[in-house]
Amino acid sequence: MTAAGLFAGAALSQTAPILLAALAAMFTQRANILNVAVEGMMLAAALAAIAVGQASGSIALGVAAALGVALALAGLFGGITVGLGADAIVAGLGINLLASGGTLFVLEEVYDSPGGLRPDNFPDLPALQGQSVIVLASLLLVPISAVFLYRTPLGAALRAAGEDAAAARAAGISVARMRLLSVLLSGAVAALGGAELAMDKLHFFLPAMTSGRGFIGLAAMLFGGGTPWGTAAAAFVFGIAGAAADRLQAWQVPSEFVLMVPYATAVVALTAARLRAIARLRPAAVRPVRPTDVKPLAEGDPA
Amino acid sequence: MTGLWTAIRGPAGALLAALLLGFLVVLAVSDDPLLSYRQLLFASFASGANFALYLNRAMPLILIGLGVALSFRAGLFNVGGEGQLYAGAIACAAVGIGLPHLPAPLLPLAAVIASALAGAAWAWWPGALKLWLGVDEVVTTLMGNFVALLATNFLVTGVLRDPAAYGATSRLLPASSWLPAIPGLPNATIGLPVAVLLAVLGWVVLFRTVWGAGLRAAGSNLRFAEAVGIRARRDVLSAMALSGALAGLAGGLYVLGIGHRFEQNFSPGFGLMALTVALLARLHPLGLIATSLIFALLLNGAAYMQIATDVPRSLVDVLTGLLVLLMTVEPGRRFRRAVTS
Amino acid sequence: MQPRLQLRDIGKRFGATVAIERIDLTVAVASVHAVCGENGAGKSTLMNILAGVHLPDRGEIVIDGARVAIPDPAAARRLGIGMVHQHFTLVPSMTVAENTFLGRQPRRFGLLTDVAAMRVRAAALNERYGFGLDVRAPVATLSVGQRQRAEILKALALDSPRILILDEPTAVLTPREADELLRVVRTLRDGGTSVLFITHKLREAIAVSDNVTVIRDGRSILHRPTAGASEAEIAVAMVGRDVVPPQRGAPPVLTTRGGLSLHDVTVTAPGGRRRLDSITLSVRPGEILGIAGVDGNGQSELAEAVAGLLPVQAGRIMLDGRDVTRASARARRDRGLGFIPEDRLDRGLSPGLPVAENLALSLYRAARLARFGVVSLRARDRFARDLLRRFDIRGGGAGVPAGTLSGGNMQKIVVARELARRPKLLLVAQPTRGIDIGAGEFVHRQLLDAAGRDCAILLISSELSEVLSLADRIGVLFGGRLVGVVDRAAATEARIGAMMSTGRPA
Repeated sequence: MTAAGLFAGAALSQTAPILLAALAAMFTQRANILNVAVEGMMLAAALAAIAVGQASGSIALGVAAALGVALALAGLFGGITVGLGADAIVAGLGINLLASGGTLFVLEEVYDSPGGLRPDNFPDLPALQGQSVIVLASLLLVPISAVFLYRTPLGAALRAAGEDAAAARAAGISVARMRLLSVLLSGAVAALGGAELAMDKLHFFLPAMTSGRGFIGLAAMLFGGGTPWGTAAAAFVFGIAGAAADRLQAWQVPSEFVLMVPYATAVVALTAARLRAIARLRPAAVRPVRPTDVKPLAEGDPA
Repeated sequence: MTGLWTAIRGPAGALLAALLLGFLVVLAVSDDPLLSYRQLLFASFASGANFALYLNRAMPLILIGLGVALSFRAGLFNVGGEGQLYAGAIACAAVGIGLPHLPAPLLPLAAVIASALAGAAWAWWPGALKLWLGVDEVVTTLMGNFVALLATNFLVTGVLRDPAAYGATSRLLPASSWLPAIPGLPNATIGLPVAVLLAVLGWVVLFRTVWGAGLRAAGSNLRFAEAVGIRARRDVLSAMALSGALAGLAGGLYVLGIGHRFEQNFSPGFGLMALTVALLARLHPLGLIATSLIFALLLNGAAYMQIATDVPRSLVDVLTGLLVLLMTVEPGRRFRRAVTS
Repeated sequence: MQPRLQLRDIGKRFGATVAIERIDLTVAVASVHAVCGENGAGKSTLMNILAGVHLPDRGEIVIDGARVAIPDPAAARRLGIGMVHQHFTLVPSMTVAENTFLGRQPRRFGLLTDVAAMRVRAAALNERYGFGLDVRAPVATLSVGQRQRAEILKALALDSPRILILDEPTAVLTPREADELLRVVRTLRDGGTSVLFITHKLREAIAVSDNVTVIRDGRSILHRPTAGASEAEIAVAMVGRDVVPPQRGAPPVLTTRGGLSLHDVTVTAPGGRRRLDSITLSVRPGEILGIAGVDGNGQSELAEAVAGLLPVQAGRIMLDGRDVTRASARARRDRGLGFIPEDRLDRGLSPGLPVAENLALSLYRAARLARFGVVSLRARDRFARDLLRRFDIRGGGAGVPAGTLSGGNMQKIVVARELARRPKLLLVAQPTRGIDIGAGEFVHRQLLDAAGRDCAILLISSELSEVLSLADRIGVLFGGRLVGVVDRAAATEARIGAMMSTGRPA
């Protein structure tokens, strides 16, 4: 394979978990929930995938376990935020603590190995051109979620619930149900992210192995403006930056600085997104204000 | 009295519920669940050494938690306590190691100031990005945690490294910089009384000063505070920096009073635990002292529990997560408020 | 002929609060029926019952002779009831067509939205009612008048619209747009639809309706044909007593010193668009200058610029003889500025903080509630209780969160705090927006008293009647420019209304 091909492959591998995390965060964002729990859902899913995959020797069961665990956490998250009105950020951080504590507890209690879970042999994910099916699924999810959000009644209801709850209610849409749906979708997609991280190539689980990818995905989603294509583009920026940073090690750049790249990129990207948003407030041309140019009532704006 | 009860029954309920759920877990995995919980809750009082260790663990929780309370009250969601703690600790170690010839009273003072400044700086930039551009401070402070930990790792495995020690550990700071112990408790640093004092001071500032009144107004409605002539943005940013300074100070006091050197993994996640502690205290500086002491008890007891029984200490991490979730379930609580540019 | 809609003995309570005590209402086929009442009288609850948002506790609803239940908004639509809410229920990022069919889209393959069919059907409706909308345009790009037509289009997108409910539909419209709306309402009536027109603007109620019902304290207390009804009769029924709105007395004798003056003040948005264009005006001590105009013509910018919350790009602002163009909000307040902002929940107070803190904030120094920066709780509570009494602020003591009070009482908190400063200049924006008549009267009286104490008052309001009854001189803001300033003696509603619509002195 050519050097460019190798680099593209590395970039794609780095992108996939971030893309999945970002898409997971996107679904809840469209329902007006800032989802910091993606990190925890991914982490728990990663352990479930390795643990069940090892025990059963089956890739499918491993992925199913990842989905089950992440959906359970998502249900918990959705239940207390949507159902009981808890603050989504605090609850999300609680989910993350529960996931990191819980995975560590399972490692120590069940496997007696706080350092991680490394099965001696672990089945490979089916792959195409060196990329696992989950990587390919993550790419397919971009157009699928675009169609879902913009071309189905359910997607429209989800967006309406997030953008203007009063308008959604007036149209007979259950806002709570839509927000819960978004959280569960988010859990399912985050589960794929966790499974990809642990099952593809590595075949093991380490404590805190997500190392902030959930947050980076969140940043990518915000940078991408919350749309499927924008989010995907931003995730690729992060993936390419990560793959490029790996090359820096060839020039004796300390590994810490290489590892910093995604986090720093996230901060820079969010700042750039805000600068862009502020610049976009400029109208194209000067025109007189007619009496009808009243700004919309602030009532429906999310506070 | 009824007012106090109304204020604490929610957090107390959450705490009891978390302990109860934890006990169910222990019941399921342990041969001797009662011993496990006895160790968890009471081993900290079994000896002077245990007790000293317990108090040492409460110190960072109080200080970082105080910072969390301050920033939340000011309307900013500083979840970067861990990074600010590390920034403070490494700055303190760098000063201590870099200026060993400074006379005794000046050295610890310079190190403490350096730690507070480093923590403040590490909280300032996310605050400034939020206030000036509206960049979400939750994401930036979380990112800041990762960057800070990588940066300290770089320094402690490089220029500050102790070649004689194993792992990511800095050289020992000169003894002239070490903090004295609490009289009668040789291993307990005076960091704890300092933290308690600062928490009381924090309560006075927040609830009994004109500045605190303006800050809380800015935190609950920035545009209102601006309209009545409060220099709201400046005050909120100051509070954010102060919040980081407190976390940095915790790092500095830890290095000077407890570790006497910087160790890369010295924090068992004080940052997020302090967040829990602050929320459990409903962002009240005095309540924070109590919740920190309770939480440090669990944190410290977990180590003894692990040694004495078959229950791993990560049980406490599970409890922490449960506690945060149970806290948020309290009806009608909203911690985060909108601050937009 | 059988009535279109009959409500018999409707009752509704929320917890301990009685929203509707007993309401009876009969609406004829192809008629416009005005429902008048003060804020909090129960109008909105009644309409929400008809729209399927709330279920009544008691009573029956009869449509075209059949007793019906309306458990949810979908049921209301099936019965042919369309509702246009006071606050638009449109999703800004979606197109007119998407909004029209939100929640009931035509489908393809059962799963996908049939976007083409949706557009065609929305366009057909638009054509039929002559609304002149682009159904493919996102709602965010529409003007307020267009948004309202989109909202009505959505309400009419039913198989057979029988009842259309309009809740305070003219609140955000210019006089001309309001006239246009009334024309649309008559057209719909002539087409056979029964229209329920909810309003507190009595002039409109009389202009458009065939019958009128007045609601007060959750009861329907007056039914009559509109023909022959007077505004005064309806107003008395609404308030329950004779209404004597405070009126400005003789114009004051003016000194030439002090007060506020603006010279060529210009505020430019990023990108160069002018929000305020060379505003020149002056208010003397003891004088009330009213600024009329439709919302969005620079009123907010004018208030913010004078308050020191929005930098001006050109011009000069003088306050009490000093140039304060570059001064901070705090410095201006120290020089005697008081500010009652247009939206009390935005800039007026903090709903989460206790009433006492909301009253005392910014007054700790001036009212000596603190020493060396440390607050005296005793002094603050005494200060707060005193203001609560003097301004008759009800709904809880000094310790309850301000947000739990009613709109009128929250507004009184703002007014009390700003007047407690004994300001030399009071900047007032939309002082009675969203509060009931009684609280509005109280606020007006406070403003007149303040003017009597030689305070200069700049009153910005889109309620023309408010400006006409309080101000000594009246200017109109249009497209960021100040269009003429007219003495009260020469200001008629027609004249000012014309200036508001055309942007030219009349």
